[in-house]
Amino acid sequence: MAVANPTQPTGLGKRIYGVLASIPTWALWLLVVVWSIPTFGLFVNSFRTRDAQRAAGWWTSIGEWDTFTVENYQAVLTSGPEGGLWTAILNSMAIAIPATIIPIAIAAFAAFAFAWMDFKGKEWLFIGTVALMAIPNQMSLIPLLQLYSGGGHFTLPFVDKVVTLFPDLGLAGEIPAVWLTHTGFALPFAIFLLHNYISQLPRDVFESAYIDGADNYTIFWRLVLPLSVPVLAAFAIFQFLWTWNDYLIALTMIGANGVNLPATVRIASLAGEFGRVEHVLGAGAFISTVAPLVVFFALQRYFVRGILAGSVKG
Amino acid sequence: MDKLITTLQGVVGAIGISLIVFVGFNKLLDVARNRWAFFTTLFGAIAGLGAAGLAWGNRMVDSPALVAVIATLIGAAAGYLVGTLPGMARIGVGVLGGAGLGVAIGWFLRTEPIVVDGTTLPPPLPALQVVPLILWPAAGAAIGGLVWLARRRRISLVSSVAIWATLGWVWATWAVPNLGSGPVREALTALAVAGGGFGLATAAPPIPDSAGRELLTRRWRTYVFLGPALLFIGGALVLSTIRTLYLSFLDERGREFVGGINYAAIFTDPKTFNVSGWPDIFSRAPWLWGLALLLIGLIVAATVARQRAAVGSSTRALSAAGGIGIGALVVVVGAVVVRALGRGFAGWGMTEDTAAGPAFFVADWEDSKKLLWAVLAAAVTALVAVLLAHRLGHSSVPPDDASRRAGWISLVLVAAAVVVSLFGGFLAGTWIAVLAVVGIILLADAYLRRRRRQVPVSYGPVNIGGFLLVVAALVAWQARSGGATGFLLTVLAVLVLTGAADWVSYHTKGTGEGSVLSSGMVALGLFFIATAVVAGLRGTIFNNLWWVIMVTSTATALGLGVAVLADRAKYESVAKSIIFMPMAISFVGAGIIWQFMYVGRPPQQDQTGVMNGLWVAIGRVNGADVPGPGWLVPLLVGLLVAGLLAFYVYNSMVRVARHGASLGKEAMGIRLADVPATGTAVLRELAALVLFPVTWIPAVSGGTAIHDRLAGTAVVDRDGSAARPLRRLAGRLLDEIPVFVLAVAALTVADASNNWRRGVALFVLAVLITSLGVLIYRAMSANAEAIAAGAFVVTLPLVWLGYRILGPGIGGFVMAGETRIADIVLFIADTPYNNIWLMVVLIWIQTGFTMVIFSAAIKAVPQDLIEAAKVDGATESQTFWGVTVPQIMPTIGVVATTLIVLVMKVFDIVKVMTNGNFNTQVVANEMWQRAFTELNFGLGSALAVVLFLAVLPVMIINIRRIQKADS
Repeated sequence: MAVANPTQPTGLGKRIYGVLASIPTWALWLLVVVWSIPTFGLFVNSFRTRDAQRAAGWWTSIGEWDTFTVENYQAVLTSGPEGGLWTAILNSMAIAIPATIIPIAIAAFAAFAFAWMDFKGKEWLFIGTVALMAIPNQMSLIPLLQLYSGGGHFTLPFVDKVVTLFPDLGLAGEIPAVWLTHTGFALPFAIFLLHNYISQLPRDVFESAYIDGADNYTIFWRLVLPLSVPVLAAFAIFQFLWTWNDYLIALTMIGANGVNLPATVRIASLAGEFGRVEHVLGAGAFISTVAPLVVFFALQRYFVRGILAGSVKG
Repeated sequence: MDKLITTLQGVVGAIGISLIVFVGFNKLLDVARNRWAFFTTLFGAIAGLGAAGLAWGNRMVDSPALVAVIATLIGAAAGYLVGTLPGMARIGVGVLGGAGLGVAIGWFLRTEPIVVDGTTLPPPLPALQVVPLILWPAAGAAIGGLVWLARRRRISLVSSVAIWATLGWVWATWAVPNLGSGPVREALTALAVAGGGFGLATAAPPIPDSAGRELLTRRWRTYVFLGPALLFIGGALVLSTIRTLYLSFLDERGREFVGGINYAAIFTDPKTFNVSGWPDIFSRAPWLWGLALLLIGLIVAATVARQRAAVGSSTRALSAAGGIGIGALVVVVGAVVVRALGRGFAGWGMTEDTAAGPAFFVADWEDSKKLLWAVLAAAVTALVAVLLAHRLGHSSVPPDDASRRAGWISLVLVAAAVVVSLFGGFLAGTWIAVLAVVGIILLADAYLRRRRRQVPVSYGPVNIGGFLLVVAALVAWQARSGGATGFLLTVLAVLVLTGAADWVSYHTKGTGEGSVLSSGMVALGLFFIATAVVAGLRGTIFNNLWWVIMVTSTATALGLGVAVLADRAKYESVAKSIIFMPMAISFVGAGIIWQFMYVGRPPQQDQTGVMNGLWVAIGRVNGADVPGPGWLVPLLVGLLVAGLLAFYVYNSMVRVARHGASLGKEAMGIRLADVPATGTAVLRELAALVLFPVTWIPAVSGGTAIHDRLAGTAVVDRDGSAARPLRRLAGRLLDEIPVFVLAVAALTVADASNNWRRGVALFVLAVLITSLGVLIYRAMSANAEAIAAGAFVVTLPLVWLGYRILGPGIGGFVMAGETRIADIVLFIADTPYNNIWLMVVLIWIQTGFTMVIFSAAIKAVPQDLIEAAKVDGATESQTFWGVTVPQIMPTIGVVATTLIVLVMKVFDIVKVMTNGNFNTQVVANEMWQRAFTELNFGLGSALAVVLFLAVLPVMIINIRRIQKADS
């Protein structure tokens, strides 16, 4: 059989073959288009007037750029309860930035301790900590809100006396309550992520430092922190996106105190009146998405690294 | 601007304070190593401050600031002295300093009751009693001694006893007696003694030498490093969890213990937990689809397993059991449908006049009885057919005998078909006789083929059985005066029977592909069944379950698919980051984005949401308001699709041939030299397929058919002469195609009664799609199980789609008499499938996540493994399923568990898009509403505990995984 010398399809066949061979590429890009239609549609809609939005779909306005306007953006930023969305964006920043930095600081110390310090029950403590990653936040909301609004009290058994362990600081409705909550919820994952990285650092570096007389504290600041910048950045992006986009915790902890509400809660309440304020909703949603999108696209490499370290390992 | 400044202040302040505290504590430890006295001074000051804070927090003192200053000063002074003085003097100072601290706080004790949150707090003045004052410190001292022994005397005995005795004292003075009744001096004394005791405990150990300090520093450094984290985790997660558990057993205000009432409330409320709709499950489309897929999957799996096992009596018994099992399952399905009939078909979720959706109507009982008989008849026939086929397929008699027997069987079945058809005609009374004639022709064809030994032994009868079931289902369908139940039953029947056909037909070698395919189908079947179950059992908890199943599986599968696609595509990273992008958008934002996608305007107006816009537009294409004949557009579209598929077939053939050439042999009988050199071969084949309906019937009779002339194909090319491969494939195609064709042709006839042009178009398109579906799998795989099963998986949705497009039509319209009016879908309000539209949002977000992880995992698969598989002759898909997937299995596990946890808690999307209305409630939103709008903490906590319990298995899996990774 003369099969040892395979002949290539020629002419039209070759061209057809070329088209078919590229199937994954266009299939992927088809998917990309489908995936971006929702966001793109929202973006286009946010520049159209209320009447235009109600009259026809956004796709009809493509090409008619001169009818586009930014008045939705102006309206949603400045008008509305408590100074419009602008205030809410500031609140989002006031929540997200500390709620990112505080857990990083705490978790870096703890991760270092778990990775390089010796103490009793280390393994179990670590496993216990990491297991808590899966606990639903809902499990903690009621007690934490009670803690912020009335303090933490413990009724002594048998004698029925109340001891205050955490004073009533009146945190409910205030931004620090959200920081504290986010910090608590973020720590297991943060410790897990940072520990995975820090424990992989080369042992010799530490040993030579110990021999030179450095203590753990010095090693942490001088060696571990500078070496861990990539993973710290990864977690920071993760946590920033998480806290900026968070709705549940802000809604629960700040609740009725409108001046402190972040953008997500404000926009969700706008969405509650979908029929009436529909036309500014797109603009609002888009504004609140700008910060995470910028962070995301600028630092995507770190973000991906964080996701991979958190999921593939372990 | 003010807001900005205060915000910045808050941010900087918070971060600054946190850092200062950390650094401060570490510096304190540095000091401990080098300058002991300074350390003790600072430590004393902090202890004093802490004591003052404790007093303030418990509302014990009147002027907390002053107390704090004084206490800090006293603490610092005592600390300095304790750090410098030797021996007994140090202990004396410690005791006196502690007592002084106690007195300092006691001096400012509150003496009047105050009212906080409606409850009156008495002043912290205990009425001391002698007996407890002796008993408790003594007990404490004893414990202290035991602790000292237990710690192997590594701690100071005096310290240990002093601490525990003082704790006993504090308990006896403040906890045991009533507060508010004692004189101030007694309270002062109590505080002084307590302070003295703690002071003694602190001062008793000797001043450590430098090695001791080093040790102490190191030990405490661990606590300083871990402390804040453990504090937060303990407070925010551990204690809160325990408290929520506790609250879930209390009443709504958290006052009274009520036992399990909250849990009982969850499971007795029909809104959260409603199983009364269970009979509807069985009449749901996903149920039927799922069952069918499951069956085929199991059958294929059994075949593969059988092929691997040695041939012997045990495998014979296994196959017999399988045959009986299939028959029994068919009967069970029939029975289940009958059970569902008692409640009608209300569970379809749509009404009769919605031509748009998957289905349809409320049955009345008279109709249902006919259906019942028809289904039973079908089931019995199927059972007989399968069993006969089984016997035939596995008899050890020589081929000639088998063929003869097959002939007999065929004849018997012809008779059965006639009986069933007549029976159906008796029930339905109309054109069923026409079908019977067609069926008889087909069966005669099978008989003749058997005689000529043109098809492998045992294949024909099963096709015949399938045909019988088709007929029976059509009878049923006719009895239903139009509708899709018959169609679905047909689908089910064909699926089951062809699965059986696989099982008893070609005995090719079991490659990995067959088992992968079967497990895929089993998984998909289970997925559909689960969907039917959770869509039938209503309530919050089942909704949540539905979310978990649907989102986890879909996002995982999609992510894997995209990762594979991206792995070989151009501009991979750009595409990936766009698909990944929704991860950066908040759930709230995503909910809003999709609300705009789903929005529906009144049908008379232009649509503004993409989904309804598309839906109505598709409806328009079918509608009478399009100029020209209504079937032209769909037919052209169909031809285009068919053409593309034909190209794809061609491509596959080239690949198969190349693969064969690389091995130096023929793969699937295709030689590369035989592959037509130009695309004209493809066009020719396409033409043959288009004309297939015309050419087919002569082909059956065994004469020279037009089709043969056109494509140059012998009907069945058994002697393997050098026919061109496309022709050979087309020839093989004929073995399988009648069952498909008959199903769709019958549908066509039915539709033609309403609109003959549409009927014809449907017929052509259905045949095209069916043929191509089979061809594709013929060309792509050498595995018979994979071919037949895959052909169905691909073909049936296409046939269904074609039927919908060309039959009643697909798209957003309703029929009003003869005209079509635009109609929209209320994606967010139409229950229960609106849940799926909400899930789409989360799938849209999470696919990026799974894609990124799978992409990395796939790239991490060792290249030499893949090379090795390729060298061994594995095809691309075999390599993927046999090498890549097992390699990334752990990753799939991690992704799935991560998603399960995430989806279980889904809240934002539901809250924003429906707030739980229209039967879309989930547990997290229910919990939030109960706890924070109705302020029912007991019920809210119980719901949280339900979530927690659901996540618990995942937690355990995670712990195991980490332990494994550690060891």
